[in-house]
Amino acid sequence: MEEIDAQDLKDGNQAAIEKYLRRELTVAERLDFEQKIEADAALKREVEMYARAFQALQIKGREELKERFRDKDKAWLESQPATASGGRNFWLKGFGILLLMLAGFLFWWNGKDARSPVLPAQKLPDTLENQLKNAVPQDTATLVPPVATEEKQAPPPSKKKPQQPDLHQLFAANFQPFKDETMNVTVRAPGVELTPFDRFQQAYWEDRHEEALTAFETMTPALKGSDNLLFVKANSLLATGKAEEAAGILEQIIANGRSRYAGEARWYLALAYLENGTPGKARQQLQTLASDAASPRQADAKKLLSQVK
Amino acid sequence: MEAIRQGKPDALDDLYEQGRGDFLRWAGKRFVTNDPEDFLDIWQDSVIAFYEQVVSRKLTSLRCEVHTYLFAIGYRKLLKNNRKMRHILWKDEVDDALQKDPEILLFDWDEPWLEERKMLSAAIGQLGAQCQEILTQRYYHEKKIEELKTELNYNSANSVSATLSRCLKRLKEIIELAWKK
Repeated sequence: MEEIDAQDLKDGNQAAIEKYLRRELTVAERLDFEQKIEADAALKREVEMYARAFQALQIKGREELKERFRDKDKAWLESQPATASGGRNFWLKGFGILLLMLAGFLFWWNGKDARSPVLPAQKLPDTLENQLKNAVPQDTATLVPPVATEEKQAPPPSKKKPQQPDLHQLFAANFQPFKDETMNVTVRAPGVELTPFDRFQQAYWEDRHEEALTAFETMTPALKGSDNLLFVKANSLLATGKAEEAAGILEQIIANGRSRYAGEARWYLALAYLENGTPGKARQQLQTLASDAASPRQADAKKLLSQVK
Repeated sequence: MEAIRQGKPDALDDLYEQGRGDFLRWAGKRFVTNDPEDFLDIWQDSVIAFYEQVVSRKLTSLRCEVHTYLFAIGYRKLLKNNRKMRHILWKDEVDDALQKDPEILLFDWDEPWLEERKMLSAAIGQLGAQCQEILTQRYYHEKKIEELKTELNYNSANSVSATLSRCLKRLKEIIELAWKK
């Protein structure tokens, strides 16, 4: 049994941070605490580190559950009847044997006229190819002769020194509002009133970004506080030239680490920084993305990084 | 949901096993993959996500069936993870739930990036087993102090609270050190 440390009980900061991160504060307490965080860099850092501690516990808990489920899956897979896929395999094997028999027959049939006897054990692919050429009229041959692959010489790199790219142009060339299938809403039947959330989603999907931003402001506080929806809002802000506001939102999304778009948020934050004329900050975000093999934006980040001086 | 919230271990296991076969067949119709284990992985993640939502009381009721909810969030994960995977469009109650249910609309997969995940896993590995156990039971499985006192054999609720506080602080310090590097 571990000893009680009296100092622990006096650590009010930790208790407050815990309540804040576990959303156990009232709205007023939360707002008050967030103001304290903004005013106190040390407290802000503490909150970030405790947030990561809770994240670490979440990872541990999940791994334990996954391990438990994997054990169940092993037992279940072993108990699955073999006939389902085995039956399919049987027919596939049977079909394969038939094909071989047909090929063998053709081989024998045309082998009667061959210049030299060919045994299956000899250079089979070439021999078979020759035999099939004899068997099938040339104009209907389905064999595709090997295409000589010549490596084309890559054009010599331009000796002209590339100009410093315009940051705004880089932004414009790389920015596309983020879309995935889950954002594509079905239009409701006529006569059914759209909720503010529906209007927001629909306007966003249809690239009516000013309307999307207006609709966003009419949603409930709970929805407006969702990092996922804030990410979408940030995209609309970028699309309507409000990169500074977008950057603030994206920074918070990344710091919170809760959104399913956290990975994409870093890409869009880099673009926002470019549009805001802060390429150094953009490079930082791009370097993080470029070094993460799991990021869907790794390739994009590497390419853009080479263009941002 | 109530059984899961009360921490009955069989409830989650039953939910997992009862829906697994159906999910594999359902997902197999919608997505083409060379590795059926992809779907098993997603099913695990869906059930875990549901568990987390329930124990944290973020999810207290559902407008749809539990299996519809699980399939819907599994579907979103499949779309997210496999943008290039060929998927076949179907229309069933899961699609309806995806469009209409706020619990599903607002649901987000809460995952740190790989490099951060590795760092955090390593950090928690540096804690003693007792700290790992009490912290996970409290902050992941949302066990109450009184439950922990009984299950982990502590003398008093104060002992539990103090141990939690110290272990959490220690974990924070380990992460802080790793972060600085």
